[in-house]
Amino acid sequence: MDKSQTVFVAPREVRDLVYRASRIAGCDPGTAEQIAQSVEFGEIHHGGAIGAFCGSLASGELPVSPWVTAPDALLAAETAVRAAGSASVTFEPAVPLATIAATLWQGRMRGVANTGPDHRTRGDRAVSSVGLHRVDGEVSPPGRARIAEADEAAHRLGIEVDRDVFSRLEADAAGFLVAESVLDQIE
Amino acid sequence: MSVSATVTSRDGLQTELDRRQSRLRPPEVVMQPAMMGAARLTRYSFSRTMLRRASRDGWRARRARFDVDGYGHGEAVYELRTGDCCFSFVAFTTTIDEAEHTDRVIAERWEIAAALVDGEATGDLLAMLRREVPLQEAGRLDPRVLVLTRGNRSVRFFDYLVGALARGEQPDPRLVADAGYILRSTAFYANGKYGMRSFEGYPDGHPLRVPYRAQFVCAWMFRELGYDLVERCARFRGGSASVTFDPCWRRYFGLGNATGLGLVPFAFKHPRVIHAWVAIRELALADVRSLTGTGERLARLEAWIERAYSHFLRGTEDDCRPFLNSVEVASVVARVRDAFERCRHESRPFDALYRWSEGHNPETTELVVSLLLELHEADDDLIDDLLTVDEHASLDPALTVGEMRALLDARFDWLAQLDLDDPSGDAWWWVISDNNEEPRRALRSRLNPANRDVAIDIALRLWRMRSALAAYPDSSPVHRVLREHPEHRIAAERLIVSDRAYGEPRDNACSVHYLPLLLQRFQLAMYGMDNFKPKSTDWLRVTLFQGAPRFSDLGNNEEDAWVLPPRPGTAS
Repeated sequence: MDKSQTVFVAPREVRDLVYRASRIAGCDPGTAEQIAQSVEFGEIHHGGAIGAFCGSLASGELPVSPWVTAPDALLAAETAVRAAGSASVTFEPAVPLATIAATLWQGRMRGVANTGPDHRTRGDRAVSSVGLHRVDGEVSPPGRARIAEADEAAHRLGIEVDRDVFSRLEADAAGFLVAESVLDQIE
Repeated sequence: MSVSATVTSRDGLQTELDRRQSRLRPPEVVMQPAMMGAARLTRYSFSRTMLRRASRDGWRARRARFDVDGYGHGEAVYELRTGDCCFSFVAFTTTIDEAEHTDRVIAERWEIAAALVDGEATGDLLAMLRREVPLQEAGRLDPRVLVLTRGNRSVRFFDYLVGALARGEQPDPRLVADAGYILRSTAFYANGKYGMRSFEGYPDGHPLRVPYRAQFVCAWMFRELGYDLVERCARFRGGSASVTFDPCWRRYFGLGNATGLGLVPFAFKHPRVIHAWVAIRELALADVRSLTGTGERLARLEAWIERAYSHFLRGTEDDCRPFLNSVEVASVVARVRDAFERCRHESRPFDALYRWSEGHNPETTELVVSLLLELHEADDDLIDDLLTVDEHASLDPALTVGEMRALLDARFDWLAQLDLDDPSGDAWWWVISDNNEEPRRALRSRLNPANRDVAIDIALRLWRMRSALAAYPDSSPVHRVLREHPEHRIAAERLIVSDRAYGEPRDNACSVHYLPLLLQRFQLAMYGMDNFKPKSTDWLRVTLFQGAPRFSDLGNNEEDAWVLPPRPGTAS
């Protein structure tokens, strides 16, 4: 990455801005929070998540985009896996990995593993299907350690992201704030 | 608490609570708004735990550079060494017209803009700070910066203090009256804001890897700057006739702080954090109430009561409603003193005193709690550990509606007391202003939220989810409910994460009757602030570190008993 074109941002900045942009785009607070977690996780562990999110925002249909529907589909499949042992989810059209990466990881923590995309897959890469299966016991130590290490580095050093993409996100989130003059007027 | 410091934080706190279960105050008492709004600082408030840590671990602080002119304009650098680590407080100082002084976060100019950084402030780091710190929220920092702050001089007292010292005199106690500070701060931004380091990015073993430790180090160094500015300006004005603060005055002033609505969203968003703050206090109270009245303990409490009486009696008589002013607090202390005389011969005198206070108003009860906790001596390593909580929780999609209902009954039965179906329960919505992102609130009748509300309407949302669940059979999985009603997702998540006894203020932040000052005071007391002076229903002024050790006092076996200092020049 060209250093002059990137900026280091704190994870909470990503989360806060995505949350705000999602609210303005029509999402309820819980859904906006879920999207914010997905983008933060995707950006830290896969990259390309902010860009993918901004692309969805531009479409004007965030509340019905894969950022909302794809995790829901995975959660429904996860409950089926608990009973049946395995299941698969097909996304038509394919969805950016970043939309589901956090949900896959949370499922892994609950004993449901996936086949298909792994930690080397970019967050903006399209995923058309995911296989889920039940596993016994906790997440394998290497996986947990890798996630923890990346999280710690992101919080200590920041996340290096494309400057223009981040500026776009800031602009998309700005509408969440209410003008001081408006608030003074109604007091 | 005579327990090992090695217990882990998440389970450790619950283990400690379980051990004292029958002796703890219940959340239906402790988390009531009126009780939270009567909270006072204790020996486990963050200002005090920070200074005990500094003393115990041999921290050393010094003024490294002071390029400030006789008007107080310039640049100052203070350093704190904690063993192998160095932290620098870098301040840029100027003066602004009195008319531009405001306590609001939205102010654009400040007399002091400062930052706490990890390491020595030199080279490109110092250059970056010079460029960005005066810009405050408009600046861009990086993870070497831990805290960003700013403030102004006290309009009433700064010049008076300079004048007195310039003439070679100490301040007149009658004129400074209730002046508890020289500088007044407004914000201590940290934890990833504006590109600063996130709290989770502090490595294991980092001396500031305790919640709010970095902010309180920063505030303590900010206070030191106040003394130095006054003495520098006095020296310039008075020349050889000038003097510095004498031993009576050199610790008397703390740091002022003006606090607005920003604290309220935090308290409603972090139930496990709030639980930890409250639970530590309640553990300590349970321990003290079980103590017998040895001569040493009785004498110690008696001394604290006298100290409190002397401190409050000579404080402000200003209107501090809904709180008591200082002199009114003194009258409460006097009643506590009388009650203590009656209780001291009982087998459990501290419990008896507490039970007496329960029969009075919350101000009395919480004042007694604050005084009793001076008798508690926990391992500070353990306290630091218990404060660090894991806030992560994920909603299991297989959870059923029946299980959700059971959790609602167990954790949020108190919602039924809040009249949440009445329109008056949904009058306010919380908003972030575009000016420095200051949290505010607006009436729904005056402005439509249009998806810009800060979702701290927790009580309303859980109440509405409870109604929505009525349409589903017990066996339905929660993911189906949320797919059909995503508007309840945040309530469902909250139901899961709110799994601790003391996590929820039992109030509705959107009610037309909601009074932010109560929750603000609770948080400020946990931080270690005192002298609560409301300026409206939404903001107040406070003081912290009044009487606290200065830089040069560290390492002098300073006792912890610096709070509630007597006013110089008055008989104690």
